[in-house]
Amino acid sequence: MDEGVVDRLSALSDDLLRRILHLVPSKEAASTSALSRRWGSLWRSSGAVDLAAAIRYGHDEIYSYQAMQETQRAAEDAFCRAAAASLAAFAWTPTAATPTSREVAMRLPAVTTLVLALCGGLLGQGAGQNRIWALEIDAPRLQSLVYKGLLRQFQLRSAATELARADLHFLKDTLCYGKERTRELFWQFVQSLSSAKALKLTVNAGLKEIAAIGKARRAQLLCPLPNVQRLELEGWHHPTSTTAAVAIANLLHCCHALGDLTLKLSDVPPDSHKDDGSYYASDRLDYTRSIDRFIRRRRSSTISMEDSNSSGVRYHDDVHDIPGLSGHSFACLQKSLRRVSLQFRLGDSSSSCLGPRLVKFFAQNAMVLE
Amino acid sequence: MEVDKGKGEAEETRKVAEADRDTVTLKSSDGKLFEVSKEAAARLSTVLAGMIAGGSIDDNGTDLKQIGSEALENVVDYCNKHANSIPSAALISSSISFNTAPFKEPEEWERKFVDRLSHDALFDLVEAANFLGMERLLDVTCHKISEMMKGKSPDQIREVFNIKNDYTKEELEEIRQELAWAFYDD
Repeated sequence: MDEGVVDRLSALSDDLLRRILHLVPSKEAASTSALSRRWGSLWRSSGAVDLAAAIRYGHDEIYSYQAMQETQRAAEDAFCRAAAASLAAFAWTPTAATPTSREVAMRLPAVTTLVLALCGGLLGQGAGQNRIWALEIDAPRLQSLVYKGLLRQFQLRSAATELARADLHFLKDTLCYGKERTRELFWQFVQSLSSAKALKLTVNAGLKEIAAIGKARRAQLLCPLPNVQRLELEGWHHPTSTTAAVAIANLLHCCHALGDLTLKLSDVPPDSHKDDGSYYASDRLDYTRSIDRFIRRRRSSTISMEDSNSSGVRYHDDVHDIPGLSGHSFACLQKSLRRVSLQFRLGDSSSSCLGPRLVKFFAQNAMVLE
Repeated sequence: MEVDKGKGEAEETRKVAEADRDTVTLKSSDGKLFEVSKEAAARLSTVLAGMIAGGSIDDNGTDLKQIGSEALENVVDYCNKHANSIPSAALISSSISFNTAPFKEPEEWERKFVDRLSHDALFDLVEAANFLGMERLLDVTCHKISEMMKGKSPDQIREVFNIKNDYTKEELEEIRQELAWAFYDD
C-alpha cells in the first residue's frame, strides 16, 4: 500500500465517512472519535449496530463457582460494552453507560421503534445482585415501545406525541421495593407513556400490586390517559381477592376515551402455569353462559344511567358487586367503550368469582357496547 | 495501462458511427476517452442513468471533469467486470439510503478488484463512485476502507491513513474516558 503524505480519508465527505464507519465494528467506530477533531462524533450518526462482542457462556469447562461467576461477569461486561456501543451508534448518548452505571439516560432523536427486552432480568439474575436502576429516554419521534423487564424508574423526557402503542411487560421482581414504591413506579411508568393510543400491560406480579386503593392514593398516583383507545391488561389475582378489580377500575378511570378493552385474568401466578395449551378451555362454557345470561338480562331491562349506578340492588342473583367498580361511573363506559373482551383462567379451586362479576359489570354499565 | 477487456481501453479518437450506439463515451479530467456499455452504465450509476435518459450524453465524450483517467479507467473496468460476472439483481444497492439497504458482502472478484488498487487509487475510486452515484462500487470501496480500520487502535488508524492528531492531550484523555468502553482492550 502506498503511504501517501496526504490524509485522503479525512478529506472524504461526512456521508462517505459515515458509510465507512457503518461497516466498522461499533467499538472501533466509536474509537475513531479519538483520531482528530474532524472525526469527533461522526460515528454516532453512522448507524452502526455491529455488535462485535460475542457472549460465550461456559466455553470451557468450569470447575468452580467463582470461575463461573467471573465468566459471567466478563460476559456481562462484554455485553454492556457492546450494547452501549451499538446503542450509542444509534445516536443514543449514554451519559454514563458503563457496566456499573445505575442510571442510563438515552437520547434517540430519530428512533421510532424501541424494544427493550429483559431489562434488568438478564443482568440482575443469578448472582443475586438486584440492581436498582433508572432509565431515562428522550425519543421525540417514538412510535412504538416494547418494554419487557423489571419495574424500574422510567421516564420519557420529551413527549412522544406520535406514540402509537406501548407494550409493557413487567416481570416479577425478586427485589422488594415495598408496596407503595411498586405502585408509584408502575403509575409513573404508565404516565410517562400517556400519549400512547394503544396500551398493553402485562403484570406478572399480581394486579393488586398496582391497584391504587383509597381516594388519597388515587389522587396521588392516577393520571389521565386521554389518548388510550385500546387497552389490554393481563395479570393475575388471588382467587379470593378482588383488589384486581380496583386496578381495573383505576385504569378505566384514567382512560377517558377507551374504545376497546381486553382483560386477560388468571387467579394463578404466571410462573405456576404448566400447561398453557388448554388455557381457557375449562371455563369457556361458564363464560359463554354468563355472557348469554347478562345479555338477555340487559335486553329485558331498560338501562339508564340511574339504573347502572344502582345496579347492584336491582339484580338479585348470586353475583355480587365489585369493590372499586360497582357504583362508580366511568367516562369511557358512558361514551366510548365499544368492545370488551374478557378471558379468565381459573385455578384448581375455581373459587374465583371476579370473572362473572366483571362480565356483569360491563354488560350493565357499558352504555355503547357493541 | 493494461485492461483485459477491449471496451475499457482509452481511445484517442473516435468516430461516431451509429446514432443509437449501445455504448457511451466518457471523458476524464485529463481528456482521455473511455467507452462503456450503456446498459452497464445505466444500471450501475444513477448519474449516468440520468444522463442517458435525459439525452445529455455527448457522443464525442461526456465530460467528467471531476474524475481523473486512472479512476475513470477503474470505473469502466468495474462496469465491464460487473457485466461479465454472473448477473445478480441483488448486487445493486436498491435503496439510496445506506442505513436501510442491507449491505451485501463484496464478492470474490470485487475484493480482488479493490485489493490491487494503490492507496490513492482506492480513494480516487471512492470519490469517482460517489460522484457517479455508483452505490455498489461505493459499498465495495468503503468496505475495503473499513477493513483497513478493523481491529486497529486510533494510533494505528492514524498511521495507515496519515491522519493528523489535532487534539490536545487533555481533550484526548476526556474522549477516552467518555468512551471508555470503546478503548477497553479485550
